[in-house]
Amino acid sequence: MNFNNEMLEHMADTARIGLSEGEKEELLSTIQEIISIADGIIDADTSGLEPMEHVTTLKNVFREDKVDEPYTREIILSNASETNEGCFSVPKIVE
Amino acid sequence: MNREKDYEVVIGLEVHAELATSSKIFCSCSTEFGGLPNTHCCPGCIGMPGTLPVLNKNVVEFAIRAGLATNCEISGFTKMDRKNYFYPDLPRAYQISQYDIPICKDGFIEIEINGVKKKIRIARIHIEEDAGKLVHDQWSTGSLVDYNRSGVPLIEIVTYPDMNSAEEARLFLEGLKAILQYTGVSDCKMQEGSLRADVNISVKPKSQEELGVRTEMKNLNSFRAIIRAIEAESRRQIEELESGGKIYRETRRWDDEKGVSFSMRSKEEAQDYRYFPESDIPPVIIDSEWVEEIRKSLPELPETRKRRYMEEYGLPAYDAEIITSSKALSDFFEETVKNGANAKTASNWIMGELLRLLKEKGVEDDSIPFPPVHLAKLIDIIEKGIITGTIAKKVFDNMFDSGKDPVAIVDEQGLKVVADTGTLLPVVKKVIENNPGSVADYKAGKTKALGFLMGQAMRETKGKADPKLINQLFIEELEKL
Amino acid sequence: MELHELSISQLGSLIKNKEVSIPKLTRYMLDRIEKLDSAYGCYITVAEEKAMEQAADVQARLDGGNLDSPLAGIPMAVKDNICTKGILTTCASRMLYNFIPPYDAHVVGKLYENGAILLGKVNMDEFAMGSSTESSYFKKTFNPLDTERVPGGSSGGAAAAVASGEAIYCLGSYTGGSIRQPAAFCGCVGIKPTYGLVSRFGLVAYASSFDQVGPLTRTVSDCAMVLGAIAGHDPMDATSTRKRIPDYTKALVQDVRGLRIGIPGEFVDDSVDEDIRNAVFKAIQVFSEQGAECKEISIPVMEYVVPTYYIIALAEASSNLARYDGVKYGYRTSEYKDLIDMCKRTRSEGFGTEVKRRILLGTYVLSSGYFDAYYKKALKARTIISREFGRAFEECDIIMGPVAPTTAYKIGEKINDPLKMYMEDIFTVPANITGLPALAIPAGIDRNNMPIGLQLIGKRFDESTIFRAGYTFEQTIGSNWTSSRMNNQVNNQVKNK
Repeated sequence: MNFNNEMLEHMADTARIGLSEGEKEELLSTIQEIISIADGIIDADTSGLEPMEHVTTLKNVFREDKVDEPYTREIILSNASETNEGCFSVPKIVE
Repeated sequence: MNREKDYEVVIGLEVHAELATSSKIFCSCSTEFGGLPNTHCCPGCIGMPGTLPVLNKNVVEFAIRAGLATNCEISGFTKMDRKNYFYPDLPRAYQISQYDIPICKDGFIEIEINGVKKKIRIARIHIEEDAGKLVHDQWSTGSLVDYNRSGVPLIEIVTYPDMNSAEEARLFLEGLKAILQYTGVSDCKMQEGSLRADVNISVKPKSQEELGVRTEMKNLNSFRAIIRAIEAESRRQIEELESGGKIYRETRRWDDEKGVSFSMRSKEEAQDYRYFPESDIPPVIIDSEWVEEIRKSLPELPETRKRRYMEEYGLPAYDAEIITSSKALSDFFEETVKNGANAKTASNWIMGELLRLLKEKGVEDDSIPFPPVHLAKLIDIIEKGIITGTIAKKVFDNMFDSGKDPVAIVDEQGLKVVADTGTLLPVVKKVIENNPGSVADYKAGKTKALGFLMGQAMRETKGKADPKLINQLFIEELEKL
Repeated sequence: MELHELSISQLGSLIKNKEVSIPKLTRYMLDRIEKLDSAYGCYITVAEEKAMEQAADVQARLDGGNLDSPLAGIPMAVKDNICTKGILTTCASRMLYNFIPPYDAHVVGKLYENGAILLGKVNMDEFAMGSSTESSYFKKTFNPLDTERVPGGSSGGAAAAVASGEAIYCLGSYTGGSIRQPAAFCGCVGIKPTYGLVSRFGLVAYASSFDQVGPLTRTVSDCAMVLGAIAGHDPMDATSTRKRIPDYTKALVQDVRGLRIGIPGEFVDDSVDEDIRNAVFKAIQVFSEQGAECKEISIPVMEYVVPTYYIIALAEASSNLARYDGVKYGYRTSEYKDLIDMCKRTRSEGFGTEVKRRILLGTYVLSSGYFDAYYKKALKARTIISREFGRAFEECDIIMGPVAPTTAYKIGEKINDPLKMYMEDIFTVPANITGLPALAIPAGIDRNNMPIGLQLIGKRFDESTIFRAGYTFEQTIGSNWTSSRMNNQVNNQVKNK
């Protein structure tokens, strides 16, 4: 599959990662190499097979509908870079 | 001049309802509404590293209830999926939702429009989590994020585009709301955000088979907004097509104050959510035993209750429809009747005075400020003739404001009917004396004048005079003249 | 022997007999870390104060008769992607350079219950993405047996700390081979438990359907003891098993008579270093002599194993790492024009190159247009691989092979060649895809005196059998003989400083 610079930029955009020109160069060649490994499954005969979506064989694992709130707001906000009025503060979203 | 009547409007709805569970979908934080920001959170629902989701059993049960009550097929096998996108109110940058195997599908709600029944089909109902809230800070330089609502459980109900008018959409939503309230699945309070609807709408010439391009309307925060938005958008689309323009597949944001919508066309339109199965949550197997257990525990549904009111209480269809449109209201009605009131009378009071006051004072029907037994008592003392009809309305208003027992109100304010001739005769005579014009009219054959004279007498007695007696006395006295 | 060279049970006896106090032992280990860690770079955070507090506390519990665990008072370290309440947990990334979790991982809580002493948090590849610990934002870790070589990864700091005697045991994590491979490179024992045996709550997620926590130790017995303490159901992890956990120490018997061991031809082909192949053949000899039935088997789907693993793991990783955006915790860039800009810069500055590479690849294989060809196909390939291994386990009780095709390589040798690095995982990854348990044990040294790791893969939840086989092997070839050689090498390194 063709992974070119345009695709790299599109993926970086989707994944919200800013890349410098130098980084793009290095990443592009290594990513292309790894995709060639990934392409190794193209020939696998998977006809008629169901995708294995879960590794666990467990089913119906639930919790009871009970309230338990051991964390205060202080703790919740304790690792944030910026807070204001008891909330996490973020720059404006450009609509 | 546009030819609206030559077009058919096609509407589909995507409704989100918050489930009335005590705790959130994947953690034990409370789902309680209100509360200071970030006080109902834990490391899990703010997406801290190393935390994991565990599914709340009631969420599955409530979703099954909703599915059964809307005639859906319940999936025997269902799972959760991740919907990946970036937005600060989504702490993990993915929403745990359901993609290809929703928990319920292929149901319907029946509405009645112009006497004709119509099935509005439900394509699917699936479970997902809500995101937090973003508000602009006071200087509008940035935004503030509150994760209290992050992780609140939702069901999303998606209909087929079976509706053809704003009225049909409204009826569907009313019906859905009633069903969700009756089954205890959601309290459906639009003003608290526990019921939200997005509208998908397109138009097409009646002669055309193929559906037109549809737009999605968002930010509809009340039934009124939904109706207005549908009407405005169908008009806009028809006008656009009539003038040779094109409809774009886009999302439009409704502004209820201005009564117009704005296109939200942006890069986000072509969002690739990269759905894939959620490995942290094992799949859910729902066997027929479990479904039956839930089906048996379903409370009486609105349709059934409406029919019962018509049969058991002899209510006309119109009354039954209104009373059962809300569980709270119909519960109140039943209690009132259980406390001895006549069903039709109770129904009249509820549909009339009660609904009027609730609307006027902005009170929700699940927060009626007096108990049903008080309404029953009021009806009783009216029937017994202890108070007049006019006074009854006053007492009702008072009951609503104070929550006091109507008998107590009547006693305290001396509102009992005045029905002795000794007190009333002088009043009648006085009114006759003071209104020669009306007396003359009456004598001349204008019977309406009697009504006027009676009204004056009622005013004199502050509404407490027994109308029958007053009437009798007037006729007698006027005879004498 | 010196204190740090003893096994858990040996130390346990000393503590019980009051020949050494827990605070003294802890102090000894902390001093050792201070002396050695500048050379080896195992620790990101040394929790000195907390460790001494804990030591006093555990001593009191023990003295008061309120604690009865073989792990009581034994100092250990935890990989820095396992959350420790109140203690920095960085995942060796700038992105979490200041993150202090308000909760302990389930496994940490279990160890504390057993009276373990936390010495600190050990180094790793950033967000567990790598096989050499070279991608850590903070420092490199050097293999204590030859400081010009890598310790393996991503649990490199953990393996190195055990090898250098800077911790009696460590908790590491793996997604691909990140416990077995560093164990092999540093001459330790490491186990990757069956998926679901150990709770993942508090383990910072990389790839949810592969991630697990496992112990790195010097001996098989130590490994069995630690696993026994951390395994079992946790209501905070919906994928954690409800099965009753057997007493793994009961499996520590020298008896492999009748045990059917299969060695896939694909595990001993030309891609494997000659010395390693010979070590495997030697192991076959040892097991056969002890009464096991060894035979060659074939697992033809091996060629799909690495691509399948990487597609699924990277897809999940791209999703699990999306939460790092500077909003709720961790690093936030200092200059930005709006939210999207802040997010992009934060992630650009907060993540290292290998992490970015994996996120971009993961995003790609999930993208519309590529999803079917890659992700969905890989899920189907996973079905085939599981089926093949299932079939193999009908004829075998254990599948055996090397941990990696090479021993520890030189620092800098592979970091710029991700392709080569990824292919290193070929033997460790099958157990991850299938969720099966796998034990890595030392099995000799190569021509450069670097340790060779042997891998024993078992059936689901059959850790007991691989412990039994591992214990037998270890005891047969000479208890801790690599350990003593290792100690000599480490001591030599220390002397040469």
